[in-house]
Amino acid sequence: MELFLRGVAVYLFLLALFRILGKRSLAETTTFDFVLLLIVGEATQQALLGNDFSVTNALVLITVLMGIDMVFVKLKGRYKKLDRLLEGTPLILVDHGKPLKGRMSQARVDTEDIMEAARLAHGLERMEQIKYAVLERDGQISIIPLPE
Amino acid sequence: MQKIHQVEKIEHTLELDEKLSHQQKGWNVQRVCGILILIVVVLTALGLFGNGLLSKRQLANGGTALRYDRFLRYEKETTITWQLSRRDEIEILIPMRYLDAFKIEKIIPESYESRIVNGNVSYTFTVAGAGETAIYFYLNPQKAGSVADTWRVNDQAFEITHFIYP
Repeated sequence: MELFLRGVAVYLFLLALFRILGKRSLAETTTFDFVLLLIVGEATQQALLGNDFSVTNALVLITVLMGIDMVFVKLKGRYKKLDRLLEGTPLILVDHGKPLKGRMSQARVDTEDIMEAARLAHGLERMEQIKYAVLERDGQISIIPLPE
Repeated sequence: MQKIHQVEKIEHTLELDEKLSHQQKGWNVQRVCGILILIVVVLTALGLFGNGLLSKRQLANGGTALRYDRFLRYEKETTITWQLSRRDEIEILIPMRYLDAFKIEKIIPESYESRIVNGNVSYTFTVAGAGETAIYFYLNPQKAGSVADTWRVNDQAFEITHFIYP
């Protein structure tokens, strides 16, 4: 029972925390963010396992975490509102070459991020070549170029 | 100072459900939660989760001083320190109810006599020579929640309260 409660508590806490921090913070993962994530993982491991380092404990815990995740995936599929709440919705950041500054500032995305995505995905050189730039639910920026 | 931009409303041809009102609610929640996170960080530094100004408790009564932490964490060892002026014998009574929530890891000095008296565990220390005496109880919290009880030291009562985080 305690193991289950630990698993649920840590799962829900991390889910809420990463949702609060926003999707861009994960998408823009720098080397230091990666190190920070490793530390978070290490701290989480202590809280989840406690002093019980048995294989059974680890296997049960993994099953509990996967189980909770499975339940959430099912619920998100069934309830659109929950899906929007947990995953967010896509957001248009550039409309026909015009950066939407209000949206970009709220989503903590700057022009550089958009141009980087444009260069990487389509080899675009200028903002005017972008028809739409969309901040997707997973934090990636997708680019739709204007036709030549 | 950063320029504040309005969130633009646009017409687009993309087949995607932006739900701008939902986005705006999300940003507001993020802002509030961001402030809450900062408050938690500050309170943590101050000792809300143990080891700090908010957690340290000191009580003194008739030549006996007590130091302990108000906020504890599950299975994280804590120390209860007693400092007593010169006495030949020191008897500390701990209610059994209190010990339900703790495992005694160690008591220093180790040369003591223990027995059970009216629902309390009694520890008696014999003191030889002059000077102040310090007694340390190293306890390991075994239950989460609030714990409040009264320890007695040579018949003086000391109310000890803890909150043990899970």
